[in-house]
Amino acid sequence: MSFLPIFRDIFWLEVAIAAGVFLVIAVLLAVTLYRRRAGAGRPASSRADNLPLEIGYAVGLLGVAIFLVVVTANANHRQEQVQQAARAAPDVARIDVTGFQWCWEFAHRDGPASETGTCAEDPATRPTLVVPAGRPVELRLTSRDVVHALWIPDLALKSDVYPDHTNVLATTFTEPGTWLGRCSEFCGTHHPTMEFWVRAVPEQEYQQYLASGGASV
Amino acid sequence: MTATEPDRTQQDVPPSSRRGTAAAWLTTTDHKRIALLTLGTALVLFVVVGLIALVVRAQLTLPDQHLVSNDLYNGLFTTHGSGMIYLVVTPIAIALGLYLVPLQVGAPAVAAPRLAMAGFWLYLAGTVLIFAGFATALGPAAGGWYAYPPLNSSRYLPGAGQSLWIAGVFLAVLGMIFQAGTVLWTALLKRARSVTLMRMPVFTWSTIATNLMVIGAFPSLLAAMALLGWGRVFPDIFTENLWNIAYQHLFWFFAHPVVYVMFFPFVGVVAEVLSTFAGRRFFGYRATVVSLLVFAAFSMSVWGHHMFSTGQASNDYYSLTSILLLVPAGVEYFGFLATLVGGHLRFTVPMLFAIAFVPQFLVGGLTGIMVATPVIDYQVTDSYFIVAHWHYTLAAGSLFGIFAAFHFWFPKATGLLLDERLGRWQFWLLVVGTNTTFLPMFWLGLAGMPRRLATYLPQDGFTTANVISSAGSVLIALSVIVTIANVVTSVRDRRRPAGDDPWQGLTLEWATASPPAPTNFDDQHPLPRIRSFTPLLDEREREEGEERTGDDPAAHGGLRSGGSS
Amino acid sequence: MTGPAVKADAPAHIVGLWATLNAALAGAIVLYVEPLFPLPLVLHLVGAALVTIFGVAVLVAGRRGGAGPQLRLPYRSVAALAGATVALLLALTWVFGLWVLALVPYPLLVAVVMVRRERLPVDATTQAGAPGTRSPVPVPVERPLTTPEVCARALEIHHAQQRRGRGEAT
Repeated sequence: MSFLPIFRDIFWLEVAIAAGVFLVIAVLLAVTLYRRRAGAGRPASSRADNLPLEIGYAVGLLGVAIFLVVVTANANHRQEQVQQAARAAPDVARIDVTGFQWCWEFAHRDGPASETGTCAEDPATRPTLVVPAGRPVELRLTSRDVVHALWIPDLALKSDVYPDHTNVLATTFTEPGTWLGRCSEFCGTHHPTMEFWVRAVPEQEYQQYLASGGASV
Repeated sequence: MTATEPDRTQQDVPPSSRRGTAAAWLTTTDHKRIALLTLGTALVLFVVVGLIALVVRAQLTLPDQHLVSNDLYNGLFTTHGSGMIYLVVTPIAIALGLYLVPLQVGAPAVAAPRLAMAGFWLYLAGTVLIFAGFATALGPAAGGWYAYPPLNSSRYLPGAGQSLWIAGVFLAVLGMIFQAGTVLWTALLKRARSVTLMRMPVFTWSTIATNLMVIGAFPSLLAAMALLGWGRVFPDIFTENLWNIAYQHLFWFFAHPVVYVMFFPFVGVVAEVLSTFAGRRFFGYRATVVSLLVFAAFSMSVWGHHMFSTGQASNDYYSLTSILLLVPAGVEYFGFLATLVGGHLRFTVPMLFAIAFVPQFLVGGLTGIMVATPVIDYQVTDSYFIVAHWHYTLAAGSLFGIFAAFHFWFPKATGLLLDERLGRWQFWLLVVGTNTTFLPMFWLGLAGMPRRLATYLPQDGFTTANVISSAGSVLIALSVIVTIANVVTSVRDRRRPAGDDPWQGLTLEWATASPPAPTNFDDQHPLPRIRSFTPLLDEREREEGEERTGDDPAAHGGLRSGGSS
Repeated sequence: MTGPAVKADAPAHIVGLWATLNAALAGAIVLYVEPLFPLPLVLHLVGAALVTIFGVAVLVAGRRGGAGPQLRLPYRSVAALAGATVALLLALTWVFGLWVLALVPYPLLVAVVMVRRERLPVDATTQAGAPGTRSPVPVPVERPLTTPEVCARALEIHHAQQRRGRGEAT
């Protein structure tokens, strides 16, 4: 599961930095507003510039920016490498995911299993994406009509789904479990109900699922 | 002239008696009137489009609600989003410059006023087209404000409302390009002789940066709308990935700079308001001018950060350019804070809005760095986190800038002061309302709520935050009602004449009458001596210096002027 | 302050620097892996080119002495309204089809109706108080009245100027 840990690391790092910056500015602002209020009787300063301070400050900011750029690019490359490794693994499970107005279709390349649904108001009409837990999975995403996006919020997995183009999401579901997946790119009338389930199952169960041609496990 | 017949004497052309007629307003070439027409239209639309937002919030308050159908909901959020961006905040950002720049640079008129007026009419025509969608059989446009193909081709959204929207956006944006061009030309070439570049106020500089972005980036939207228009007639082109992605490039090449078009003028407004009510020159004027220009130049390179999740854009390039923007933004914030640190602060209503802008926009800016980070953006894009992020920039940021400008220059434009007490009510309602509405949305996004969701289910766990958010939107509505009451009572009662300079302003517009004469400065209100970007403060200090010592401090370098005088 | 010529150019330098920075940023795209490679670069360069064109226009106007306050101000801007109306009609034509062009003669119809309304009824008299007419009121002015003598003198001067223009003796 390469996405969630990387997202968490960088997200909380940036939240911490942002919170620090916000706090410093908010405190500075509050203190200033109190100290320099007209009632306090301090006359306005006539100083209009302090170039050395400003240039020094800008250089400091540039340092912060470069730090963030490096961290960001690193995280991005790490994520790409994990995906590359997953795709190149010999035991990768390939699944074709097709979005359409307004539901999903999951076709497994390792067996004759394929599943789709109608994604109506009733949650029972949502299809299930069954994946093997513990080994790499490659989701090959494409669309039959408009742009959709596959999003599994709890796993921080997201990619846009385009017609006439295949995007790939490669990851490993380390533990068995069930999560909700959504369409996150606005795609028309029934966008809100274009949901699906993701079930990561043990290897044996996955093989049964494939052999049974997509019968529920 | 005979005393017995005073009403039949020879008049100036145009006669002042005819200046108030509707025909005079609608064929005017006075930049102030063109700007007021544009600003007035935009403010009316702000209320209309805001009401639409209330319907959206009502629908989302509780799970599984169907006050409106999915399709109408899609039409409403599309109208809300595109209305606020194309028809409200962008026109206000540009027309504010149209009103103020000629005044601030001591010019009697805007360059090419008829072009500016054509800009207003095109904007109005675009507005009519977009709202005409509500009268068509299939309802208004329902493809979101960025109208991605293939969804927006005639195959998937066949309604005439969609085509009307495309044509309307095209015309409105064309109109804005016209207005922006005239303002830029005025600021660069039509200044009074004594107003050198480095004697222009921060606001004028911010409009230069803004309008350069308009010139460079807005035509890209015209191309995008033309492509989309082509797709309305020949929907087959959008079966090809190339054209879908090309549209996104064309669109975002416009749509990221437009975010800064909706931001920069308000940086200028906040700078003017803060320095006026701090009673001093804006600190770090030169650094701020440079940072505005650099910011604007870089803003042209960041558009691809809207396309990280497409898997078809260079993550590294766009995240590099986007994150680098924190340097010029940080320099502007330095100016805000440093101006306050050495100030003698008067907490008037415009000052309150300007102060609130600083921390609130900061939230939008800091979360902006997060969404410019691809590994974070993958998770939060197209979720309510993004919705919260840009509402912090636009509603908690630009809207506060708009109201700071509104309260600050309303006396200049009308000659009447607004009520301070109602203004404070408006301010506090808006502060509480805005933060209550948009802060929970960050949490909703992280909890997995996609944007543009017509409804959700109780088991999704989005209910609490949505209830809080909707309650906040009611406060915003109350705040707007208070504002309207404030304006109506002020204009109706005419009890509080403003005078030429109610705030002890720093820049040239406060040297002329309220409202200014048709050609801005006349014999009763000549241009004062201009030696820096705060000519009126220089004058006041000179008079005070003369009173104290009988001496002119400006004569021996007692004043630091930004110019090369 | 190094001279008026340089000062007039200064705004163009701002635009020029801005466009240069943009072109450099556009060029940097080459260093990155960009799936739709030439498209973003071209887009960015076109954007920079638009600004450059504007900058050149500023430069030319500045060199020609176009800098300084606007002195001429058109009195009215009817063409702006007409232009936007045409744009609106074209947009509607695109959305709803060519039949919208049938709206084009509408202003003509309005004009015809209005002209007909302007006609006086046959029995209208030219006396004061008659329907549709008003007796003219002299407008007092500060300058002396234009007497026939003044007109004759003005005509004489005008003819003299014309003769001088043709090179004839006066």
